[in-house]
Amino acid sequence: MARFSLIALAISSPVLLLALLVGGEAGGFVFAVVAPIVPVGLMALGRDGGPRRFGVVVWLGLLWLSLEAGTLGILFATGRTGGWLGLPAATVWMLVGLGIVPLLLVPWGFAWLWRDEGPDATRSRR
Amino acid sequence: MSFADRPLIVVATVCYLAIVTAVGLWSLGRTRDARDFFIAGQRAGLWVTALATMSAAFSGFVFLGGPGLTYRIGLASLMIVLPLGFTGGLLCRVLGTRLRALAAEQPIYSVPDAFDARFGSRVVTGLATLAVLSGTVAYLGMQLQALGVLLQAVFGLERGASAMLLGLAVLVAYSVLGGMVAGVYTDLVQGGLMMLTGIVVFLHAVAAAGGWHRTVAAVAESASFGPQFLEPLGRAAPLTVFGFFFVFGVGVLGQPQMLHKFYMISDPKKLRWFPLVLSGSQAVCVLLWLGVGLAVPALVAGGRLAPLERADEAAVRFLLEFTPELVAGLAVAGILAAIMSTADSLLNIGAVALVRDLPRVLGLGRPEPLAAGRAAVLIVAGLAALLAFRHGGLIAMLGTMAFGTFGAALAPALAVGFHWRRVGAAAAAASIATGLVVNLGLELWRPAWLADGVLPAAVALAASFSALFCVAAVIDGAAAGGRRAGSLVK
Repeated sequence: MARFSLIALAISSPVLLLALLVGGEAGGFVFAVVAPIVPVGLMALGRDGGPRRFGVVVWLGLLWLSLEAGTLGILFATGRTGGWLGLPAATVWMLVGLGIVPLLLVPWGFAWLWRDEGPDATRSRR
Repeated sequence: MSFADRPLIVVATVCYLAIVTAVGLWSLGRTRDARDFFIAGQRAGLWVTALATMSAAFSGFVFLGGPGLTYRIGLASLMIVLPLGFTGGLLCRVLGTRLRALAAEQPIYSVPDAFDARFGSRVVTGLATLAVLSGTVAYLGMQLQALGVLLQAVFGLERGASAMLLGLAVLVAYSVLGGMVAGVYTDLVQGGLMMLTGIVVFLHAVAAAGGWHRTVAAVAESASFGPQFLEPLGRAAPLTVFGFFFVFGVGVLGQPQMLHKFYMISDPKKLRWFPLVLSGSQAVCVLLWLGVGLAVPALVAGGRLAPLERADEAAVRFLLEFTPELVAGLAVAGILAAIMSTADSLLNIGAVALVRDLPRVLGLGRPEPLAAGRAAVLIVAGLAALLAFRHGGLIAMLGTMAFGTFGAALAPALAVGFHWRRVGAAAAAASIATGLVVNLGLELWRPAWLADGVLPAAVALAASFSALFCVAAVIDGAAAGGRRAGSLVK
């Protein structure tokens, strides 16, 4: 998992830079799609073994999906009605995908995954 | 009307300062040596560490700058704070346990110390120290700007410059009182006060504007704000919006005022609960940003509040004109707490960089700590004041530059370097230098070819990561003699 995340980070960094330099709608779209990879990729750098490894993969996978849903929801739902609590749809996607779901998923997932002996992110890939 | 016409507010402010001073004096009794001074003796529990991290992170940026930015660009501003949902976990997972383990093995008191332990290079440590100093001056400048806005209202001062000078005097005196032991325990008090302020002001803001649905409807139906105000891409470019998310979501890994707190926790197993306490407490504080950010435009749209001349006045104008005196007093104390807790952390970090880290890198003898420390505080505070006086923009934009300076320079080398042995001194140095030069360069000289809305900090962070991976691909840091890699990066 750590090797995969290093590759993902190594590719996404120059892609994000290019998107910023190109600018415009195209740059914004690429940036929105690729940016969520970075925090998830960094969190995947730790080396985990045993049953926890599967849990970490699921945990980070769900986080990534939530972040992508948030950024893509902002892009594609802008201007549409049908939100919640009087807020437009794009704002609801933003708040839920980028804020509320990660706020519930990450802290509780972290506490659950390392419930036995505490966090152990002291081993890295070679 | 100013706060001076409402004496309870001034009384609340004075009481807050007295309580914080008392806690600071109590903490001084627990300071016996450098370990106590720099990392609270590594005796801090989960709640102290997590709330100290929160209050060091949340400052005038959140309580004044946030509502001000919202008034200017709408709910797009929330992209700055939404990452708090995962940044607590990101910090713990990527760096928290490693930094804590490092602090248990050897005397580590600063972020440059961590760079020195990992890379063993004076160039890398020197660049990291330079980054810490640059970011500290910028971040502190933002705190002074926020303090100026607040004190101008509290004391009814006509000139912002006078208020800023007053704020500078208060900050320096507060910081000189005691080192990090005073900071971390006063941070606990301040963190609690900040959370209370967040909840109380949010409830008052929504009520004052007529309830949630009426507030949102008033903003959407107004001519001056309109439905775009409520859209993420309504009043800001996509690259600005997503840039905020990237900078504040990833750049958190380079914030020394937060990372430093990991050295302090007494039991590393307690880090399991750290993301929950940190993210939860931050979410409560951010309620003020949301509540005031929506209420003020709604009140302006309804003709109950005059349009703001300065967007950064949003929170203080609301507190002055729409909250009971006691609530306003609590809120002022809470905002002061936010500013002082961050500023105190930064002053200490900047002083350590000047007095300890920089002389070591330059091979100079270590100066007498007490006198040198106080002089360093004055130097850092003076530079920050100069920046604050010259900066005429929004508090949040100076905050973005400051946060981005730390993040772009330090986050890639720390986050990847502490996990991948191939990252050596060359890659780390390239990354830090790229982050620093690109961020400061684009802030000072924005080229015409850079697209509208692109944040310099976002470009710098992406460039810094790219530089790290490019150099690491060419030069194998472990093979090149990263002698300290083996003990840290297993």
